[in-house]
Amino acid sequence: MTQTIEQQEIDLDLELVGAPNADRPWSTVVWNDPVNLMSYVSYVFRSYFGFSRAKAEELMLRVHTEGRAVVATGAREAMERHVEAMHEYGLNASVQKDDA
Amino acid sequence: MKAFARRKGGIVTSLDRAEAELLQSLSAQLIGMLEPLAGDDAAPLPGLVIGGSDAAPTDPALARLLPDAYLGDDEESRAAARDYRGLTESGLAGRKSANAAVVMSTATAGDIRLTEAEAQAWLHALTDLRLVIAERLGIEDEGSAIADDEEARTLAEVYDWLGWAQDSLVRAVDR
Repeated sequence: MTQTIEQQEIDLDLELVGAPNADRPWSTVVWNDPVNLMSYVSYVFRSYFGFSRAKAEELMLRVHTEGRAVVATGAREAMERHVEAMHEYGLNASVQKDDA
Repeated sequence: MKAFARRKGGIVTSLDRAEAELLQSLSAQLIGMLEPLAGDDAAPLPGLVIGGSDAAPTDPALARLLPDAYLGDDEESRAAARDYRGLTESGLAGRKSANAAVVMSTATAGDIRLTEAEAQAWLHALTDLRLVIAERLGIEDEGSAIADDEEARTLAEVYDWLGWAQDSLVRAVDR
């Protein structure tokens, strides 16, 4: 009895941990490049994603210093639309799985 | 060229004749690069045109304008990149070409006034021009040295000028 209850609790925990990732398994990654201006990248993050000035600056700096940043997570189709928009803005971006 | 500024009714600047001619020439070259990949405007469903290629362009500058959306080296990623390119490339090339066409038609000598939509097209096109020139100059990271010949020096000056213009346009649009 005790054994069974513990087993159920463990399973429940696993589901709770797993659920958010199952809904958002894809990400949009923006990569650093030596061309795009910091002011422009920050502007793109605000105007396209609707990020606050603070969040856009933080993500832009992460791209600049770490070479890349995850700017969105969610369904694959949505990430592909984001990447296409980033490419239209001239930013280097890619769709990646399990990288939130 | 004056820095871009936001005035009532649009984004304004002024260009001298040489600057206007340079922007028109660069935009025309950009259109020339993109046009072979762009979708056919006469297609029955513009925007839904399918007809992209299945591999990244061999010209590195063009490949930078139309990059792969999936980067992994495994077969699944390569297949996803091919599928994505097939669905999006011609539309993306067409929109980039259309942005450059806006610069061509509005970059005239003297005072110019851009609508919000035209200013957005300029932002996109100035970025694309800088990406192409950076490839031609071999700029690969922040510390890349420019080749020490006359042509590269001239191109580097154009690159810096476009960067200055774009930064001023971002600031004007953003206020």
